[in-house]
Amino acid sequence: MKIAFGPFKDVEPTEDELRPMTDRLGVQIVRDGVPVHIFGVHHRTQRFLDVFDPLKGFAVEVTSEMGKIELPDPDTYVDDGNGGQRMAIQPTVLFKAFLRDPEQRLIATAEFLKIINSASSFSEGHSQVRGKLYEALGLPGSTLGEDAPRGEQKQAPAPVVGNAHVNGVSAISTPAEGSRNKLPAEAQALLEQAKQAGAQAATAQAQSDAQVVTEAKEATGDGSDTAAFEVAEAPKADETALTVAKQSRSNAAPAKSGKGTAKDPATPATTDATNEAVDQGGSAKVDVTAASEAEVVVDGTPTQAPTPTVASAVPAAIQGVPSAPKAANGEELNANLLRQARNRAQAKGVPVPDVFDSALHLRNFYKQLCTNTQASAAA
Amino acid sequence: MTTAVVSQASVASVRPPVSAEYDVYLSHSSSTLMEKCGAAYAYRYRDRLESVTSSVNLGFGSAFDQAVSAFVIADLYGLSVDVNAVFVNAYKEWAATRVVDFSTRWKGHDDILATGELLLSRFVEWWKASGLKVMVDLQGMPIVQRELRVRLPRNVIYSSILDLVVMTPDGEVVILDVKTPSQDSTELFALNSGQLTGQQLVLDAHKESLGITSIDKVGFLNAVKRPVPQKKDAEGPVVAPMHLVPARTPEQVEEYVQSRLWIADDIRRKRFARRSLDSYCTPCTTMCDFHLWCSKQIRDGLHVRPPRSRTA
Repeated sequence: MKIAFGPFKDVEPTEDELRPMTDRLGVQIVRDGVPVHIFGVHHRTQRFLDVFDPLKGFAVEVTSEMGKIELPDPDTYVDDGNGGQRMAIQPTVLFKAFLRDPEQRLIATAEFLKIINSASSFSEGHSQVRGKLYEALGLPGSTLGEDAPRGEQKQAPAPVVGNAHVNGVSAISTPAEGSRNKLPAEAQALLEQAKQAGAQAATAQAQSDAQVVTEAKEATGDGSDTAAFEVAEAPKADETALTVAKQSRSNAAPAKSGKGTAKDPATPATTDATNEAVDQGGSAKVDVTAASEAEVVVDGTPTQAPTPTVASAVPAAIQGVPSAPKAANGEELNANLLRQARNRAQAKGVPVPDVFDSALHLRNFYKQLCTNTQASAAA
Repeated sequence: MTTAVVSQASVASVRPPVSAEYDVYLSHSSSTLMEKCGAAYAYRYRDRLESVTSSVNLGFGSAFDQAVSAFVIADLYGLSVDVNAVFVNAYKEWAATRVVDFSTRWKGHDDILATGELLLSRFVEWWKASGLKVMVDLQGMPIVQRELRVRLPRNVIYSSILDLVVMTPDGEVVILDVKTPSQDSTELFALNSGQLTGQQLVLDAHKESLGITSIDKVGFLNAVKRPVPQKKDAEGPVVAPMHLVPARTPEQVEEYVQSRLWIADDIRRKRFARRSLDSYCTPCTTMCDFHLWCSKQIRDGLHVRPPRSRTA
C-alpha cells in the first residue's frame, strides 16, 4: 500500500503500522484472496502531523452534537417479541472535524455519525471522525481504501406465523416471501386457464343447484323452513354464494333430531351453524372457506354474494373446508382428503355426495376419482 | 468495542448478546455445498464465482421440471397441454443463453431433446397409472414449485422449493421431489436425504396456512436420464420405481435443524477450509467448478455473478 497522489504522496505504511482487518468475530477479512489490513488512526496521526504540523499553525478542530436520528445498532440485539431478534435502536452523536491552515482557512472537513452504546463510544467517535478527515485528505484507513471494516448486511427479522413442531422454527409469513409460487410460465398459464374454467363451472353448477332446490321446494309445498330452500331463492347475482351454500350442505352432518329444519328426509341437511341460526329465527353465517366469503341469510333477506377475489375465481369446490367436517356416522373427515376429492370431482364433472356415510366412504370416493374413469368415480 | 445489551420499552425481554448472529440464508444446495467443501461454498456464495459454462444436466432438469409442472397442473384441472413443447421450448431457451457443457454421454442438443421427449412420455404414462394428484392449498392453488421459507433459531433463514406435494389414492400426503439423475437412487437415500427433511421442515411450518393437516410420506421421483437407445431391447430413459418413505420424525427434523445451525455458525466464522477427503471419495476433481482456482489460483473459466438483493 503506497499512496500515489495528494499531500501524502509516497507514504507507505510499515508492517508495524498495519494490522489485519477482522470482522466482529475476530476473523480476518479477505477480499479477492488478499487479506485486508487496517492503517489505524493513531498511526496515521503521526503521518498526518508530519504534513500538517501544528507547530506551523495547522489545526484540527473536532465538534460534536447530538444526532438527530437514532440508528439500529449492529452490536446490540434485543428480542423482537416474535421469537426472533432485532437490532436495538440507539441514540447517535454527530462528530465534525475541520482542518485549518495557519491563516485559519478551512482546508478539509469530515463528519461521522456515531452510535452511542457504551461509555467509550464518545472517544471512539472522536477518533473515527479524525480518521475520516485523514481519508478526506488522501490518507486512507485500510488497504481497501476505506476507514471502517465492512459490516455484514443486517436484515430486520421477518414476522412469523405459526410454529412448526420443531422448537424455534417459525414460518416466514409475508405471502410474497414466506410462501412463493415458483411456477414456470406455462404452468402459470394453465392455472389461469383453470381458474377461468372453474369460475364458469361454478356458475353453471350454481344455476343447476338453484333449479334443483327450487324444484324440491315446490314438491314440498313449503318454502319457509329450510336454509337450503331459502338459499335457492337468492337472486341470480348470488350464484357463487349458492355454490358455497351447497358446499356447506355437502359438508354437513345430518340434522340432529329435534334440532334440524329439514322436514323431508330426502332433503339434505344444512350445517349445524345454519340450523342453529334457523332455530333462533336469525341469520346464519356459513363459514365454508378460510376467508369466510359467503353470508347466507335464511330469514328472507336476500343472500349476500361474496366479494370476487382471485381465490373466489377458483372453483368453490376446491376452496377451503370447514374445520372438522364430519361424516354421517359422526366420524371426522380428513379435511385434506375432502378438499382434494372436491377438487378432483369438479375437474372430472363428478357430483360430490352431500354427505359421506363414513370416513371410509370418502376414502373410497377419492380413490375412485383417481382411477381416471369418470363413470366409476361417480358415487 | 464491547457488546452492549439494552432493554427497550417495546421489548419484553432481552436475550444474551449475540452480536455476530446476523441473518444467514441457507437452502438445501448452499448448505450441502458448505458441508461438502467450505472453500467451494465461499467461492460460490461469498465470492459469487461460477463457471462460465453450464452443465447440460442443469438445463435438462430445469426444462423437465417445467414440463412436469405444466403437466400435473393440466392433469389436476382436466386440461390438455403439450408437455413435449414445454420441454423443448424451455430447454432451447436455456441453451440459447449460455455455453453448455456436455458430458461424453451426450452427442449434442438433439440427443438431449430426444431423451427428454421420450422420458416425458414415459412420465405421463407413469403419472396417470400412479393415481397421484397434486395437492391444492386453502386458496385452491396447486402446491407445485412452491418456495417456502422458515426462520430457524439464531437468525438462520432456510428456504426450500417444493417440486410437488401430492396425495396418493389412499389419501396420504406426500412430498415428492422430482429428479432427473443418470441413475436411480436407493430407498436408503430417500430415508436419509437432508433435502427431503428440509422440505418437510418448511412444509410443516407452513401447514396451517396451506391447509395441510398431515405429512405422511416423502420421496424422490427419479426420472432416469439416459440417451435414447439405438437397440430395440435397450431400456433408455425411464421413471424409476418410486421409493416413498415415512415422513421424518420430529427428532430427525430437529437433528437436521441443528446441523443447519452448525453450518450457519461455520459460515459466520468463515470456516471455509478445503475438504479434500480421500483419494477414493475426493470432491477435488475436474467436476468441481473451482478446481483450478482453488488449487492453482487460475481463474480461467469462472466469472462473478451479479449481486443478489434479498427482501426477507
